[in-house]
Amino acid sequence: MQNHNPVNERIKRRYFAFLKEAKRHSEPTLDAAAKALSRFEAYTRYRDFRVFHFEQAVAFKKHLAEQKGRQSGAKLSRATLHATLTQLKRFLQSLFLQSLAISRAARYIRPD
Amino acid sequence: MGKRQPNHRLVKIHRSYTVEEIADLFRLHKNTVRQWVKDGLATIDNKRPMLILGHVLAAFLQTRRSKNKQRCKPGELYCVRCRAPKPPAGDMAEYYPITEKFGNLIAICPDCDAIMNRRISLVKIDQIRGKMEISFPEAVQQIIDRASPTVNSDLRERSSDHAKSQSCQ
Repeated sequence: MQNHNPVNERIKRRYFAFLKEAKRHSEPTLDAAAKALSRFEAYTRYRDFRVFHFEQAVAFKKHLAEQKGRQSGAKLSRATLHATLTQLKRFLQSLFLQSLAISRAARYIRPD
Repeated sequence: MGKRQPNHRLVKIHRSYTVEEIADLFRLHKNTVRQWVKDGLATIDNKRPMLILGHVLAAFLQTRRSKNKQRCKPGELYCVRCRAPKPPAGDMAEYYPITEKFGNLIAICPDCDAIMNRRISLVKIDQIRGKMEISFPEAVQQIIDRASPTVNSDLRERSSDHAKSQSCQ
């Protein structure tokens, strides 16, 4: 069974460097982001981030709400859901902005 | 230089690491980590920079640590020179108490004649014994052996008590 996606790993790595160096986020914040992203990747069976569709995120939100915590055996708390989904949202937004910037840059660079 | 057995719990399982980052984490040389890759530590792909998944690294270090660990079975002591647990020569061992509850088993290696030690609890000695014959020290060890006993004793007082008790009878 596939347990990682090399392309995603490199994208995630660049994002963590951005959080750490540009955003000056602390190490625990980076850990939280890493955990949230690995939860999402495991759900999508390590599908490429580049073929992301918003339905994946909607389905993941529903899926996460039904998951049970390993320690307590109870459903994940609202705080956990909120924290995970916020981190995921920020990541996807940054991906989107990046792709937008690249496509706009390409439009300007394109010869007439 | 880092520890001989790096602590796998320092690795973050949701992160990926380059060779340099692993070397920094464990205070090792980069070539040590590259040697691990040659020894079978999986990288995510063949591209550069080489990346290693955190959970893969943690599992790798854990198996390395447990692979080198050798437990002594009952009737065995660990020979440091041969680097293996072995039954003692002639299945004979000697118990040296350190406190009332525990002590050292001392025996000789059958192959290299080196002295082997094993720290044991006196309560568990029957579980550890196996086929070994364990001899216990017969008397309390003294610092110096003397031919003539010391005269500074309270024997005289005791003997007078003894005499009194006998006279009473």
